[in-house]
Amino acid sequence: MVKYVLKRVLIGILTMLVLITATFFLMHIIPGSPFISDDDTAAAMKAYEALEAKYGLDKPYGEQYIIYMKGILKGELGESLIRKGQKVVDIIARCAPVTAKLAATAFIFSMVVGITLGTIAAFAKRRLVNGVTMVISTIGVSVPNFLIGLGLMIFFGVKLKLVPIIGLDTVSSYIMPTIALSLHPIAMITRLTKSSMQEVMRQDYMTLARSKGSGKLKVIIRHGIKNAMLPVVTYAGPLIASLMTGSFVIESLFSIPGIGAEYVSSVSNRDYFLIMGLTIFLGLLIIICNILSDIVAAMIDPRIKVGK
Amino acid sequence: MKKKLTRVLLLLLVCCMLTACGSTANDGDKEPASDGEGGSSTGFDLTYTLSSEPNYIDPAIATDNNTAAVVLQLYYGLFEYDSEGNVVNAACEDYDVSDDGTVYTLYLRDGNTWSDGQPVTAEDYVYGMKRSIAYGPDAYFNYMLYSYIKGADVAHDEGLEAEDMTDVAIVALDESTIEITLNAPCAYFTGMLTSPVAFPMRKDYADPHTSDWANDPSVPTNGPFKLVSINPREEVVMAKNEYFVNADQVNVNTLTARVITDPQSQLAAFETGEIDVATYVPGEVATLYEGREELANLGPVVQNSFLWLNCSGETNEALADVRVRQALSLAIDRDTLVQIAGSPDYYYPLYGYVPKGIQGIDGDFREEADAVSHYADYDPELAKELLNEAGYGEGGKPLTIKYRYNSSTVNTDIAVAIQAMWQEIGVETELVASEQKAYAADRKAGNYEVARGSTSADYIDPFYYLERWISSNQEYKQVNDQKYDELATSANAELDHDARMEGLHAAEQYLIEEMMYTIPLYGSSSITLIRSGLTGFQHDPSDNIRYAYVTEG
Repeated sequence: MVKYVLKRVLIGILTMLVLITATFFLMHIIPGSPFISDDDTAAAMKAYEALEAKYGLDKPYGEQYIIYMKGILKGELGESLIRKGQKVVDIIARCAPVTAKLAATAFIFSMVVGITLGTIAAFAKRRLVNGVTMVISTIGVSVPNFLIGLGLMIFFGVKLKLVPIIGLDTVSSYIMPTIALSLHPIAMITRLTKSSMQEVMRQDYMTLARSKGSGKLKVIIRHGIKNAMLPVVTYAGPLIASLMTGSFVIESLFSIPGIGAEYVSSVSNRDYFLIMGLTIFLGLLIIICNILSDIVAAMIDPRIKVGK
Repeated sequence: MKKKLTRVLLLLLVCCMLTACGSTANDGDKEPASDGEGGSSTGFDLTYTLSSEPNYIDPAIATDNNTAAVVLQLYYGLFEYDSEGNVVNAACEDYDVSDDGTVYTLYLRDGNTWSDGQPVTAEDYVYGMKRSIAYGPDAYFNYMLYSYIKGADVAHDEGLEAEDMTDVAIVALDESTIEITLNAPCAYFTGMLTSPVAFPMRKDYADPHTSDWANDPSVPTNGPFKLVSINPREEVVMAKNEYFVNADQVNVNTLTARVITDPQSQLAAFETGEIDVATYVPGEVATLYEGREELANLGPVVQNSFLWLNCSGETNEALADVRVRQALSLAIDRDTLVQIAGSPDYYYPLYGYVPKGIQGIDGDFREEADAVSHYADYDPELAKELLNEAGYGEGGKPLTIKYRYNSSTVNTDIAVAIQAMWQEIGVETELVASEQKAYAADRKAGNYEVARGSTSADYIDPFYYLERWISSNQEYKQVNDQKYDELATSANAELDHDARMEGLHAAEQYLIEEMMYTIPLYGSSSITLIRSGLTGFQHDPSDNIRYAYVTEG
């Protein structure tokens, strides 16, 4: 097990190295500079040159790369080029918790709702119930989340004025972005749970449990759900990563000052050090989540071989 | 095995929750918003919007609109612009200029006080200016000081510390008098002193080279408001400064700047009443809200839309021919462009390069010129003739022009409209859209034929718009005409106001009517949504709004 984890961590470090190098050079290939403006004055020209020199952007890319990598070894991510004087680490420390709060809420919400709906759908005899859950999951998979977000915003926020539409100040302001973010995972989890549950119900041990005289509901909760969770758990790791990285549009729509909004603006501003910092942060997050879910999967199902 | 799994899952969950809790604790510091507003009970609270997160609230580096929109509420500068672009006295009560136009003596008004009760001295303004110069290239607008003030250029280039700037001609003669000496006369120098780079600073708080101190609410400011709390990603809360020199005229108790990045969300927030003033609204709002009293026109904005032409002929030789350039301009129906950009109540056809909102001889510079002649007018028949004369169009060589623009809805609509108008006179247009920074890089390198441009003025004077066409001011010389250089430079050096403006009018006429080195398209006014009943917004043509004197009812 230890050997397996070590191997995964080493691969993770190598992946990070490739990611950092690729991002660094790709980012410099994009035309434009953080300080360029469509302005022709003597003052603008002079300021542009002075700024390029101050932040070392006038040096060849190779040299800039070496300077940057040396900084990383020392744990330095540098300063934002656009928001003068602000450290990249501070910016990440400020926006990551905002995204994490929303991601955690959406994660819990989609797990609870998804598993419940999936279980109901698996046992529903009435076509109506089955139909309703499948409609929800089809909508969730096929309608993009920003459209759902915009619809919710216009109907509940602007027309009915039930919930605030910007920021994350109050508990009620979590409602709409959480729903918009969760619909897709809910759909996925519902489908996973449903098919896995139906599979589990056909197993011999379920028949055995029932024949021992346990109630139907008790059997479903104690044995059914527990055993049907493997595919859901393997889905959970990547889900956390995608909720952390994937809410770019929702964040911009609801003016949530999270990591997605920061990432998008850092690229259009060519804020090189911030782009690198955020890439490293998100890259690490995804790699860690994947390692964790692999380990968990290996623990649940001993048939997944570890160590080799 | 399953127990282990549950444990791992629980651990994951706890981790998520811990991060969530951690940041709630951080948000706690924005609560004590109410304790700063003791005194007046008659006032009201006001909320306006910022389109993105402000930087540190340090006037020296307030180079973006959002930081400036906060800094302006907190500090009281020497001068301000009024709604028509005139420089008016603020903390400076009166001033003298020496006969040769180089020595400015500024007299400060009494009662100008920091929010901690200390008087604002001439020395505070001197330190503010010297600190901006010493801050280096990040304080972009410090060029407004070092390009004009004697000794400041050298001090800036050598990176001198503020206290070592003994040769820089900004001197506090006594507690309330400042003397500034310029290298050469500059007719619009008081306009430079409206900039935040000339705001007063406290030596005991404002570190010369960092800015993080500025977001600390205990830092005194001398404007109508003082900082209460700041969460740059969400909001800046300010409270009335009881020590402000005009505090008796300030009715707003708590002023909040909300950060809302999405324009649609901003409109929705205005609809629900979460904000009182929507400051950046897309052009179509003028049509959407037509006839509603919330829609407000706060006055002209010094911003123009125009076409860069690569007149060197290096990318398209046809553009080196003045007849072709004039034909391209004559083919454009600016009234139609105004309809596309937004409502004619807020956009206007631009017949010269300098937009409205700038003072000329004794009125608006643009309106004065337009009354005499439209330098760039609409006449497709004449356009065809000129094009034929140049050997292009019907019966001549075919002409295809590459039109670059940075992609946005309105830029695309305008590009398509111009393409159709040029088609009318037999010119083919190839539209090339790119993202803002990539577009700017190409444009600056001269890698374009025609490009859509827009310029907003750093300071309000016609010369701001005219100086950029002087050949030595261009990185890539798309316009290289010594006659123009001479016209513009000599006009600007004129000491007499009227003679100077006459000269600048002549330079603009040569630039546009005679040579058509650039094609003006349209200008605009400030479109703002304001909750009905609110009045007294102090708007200037740089599109700054000061909220101190807003009243309700």
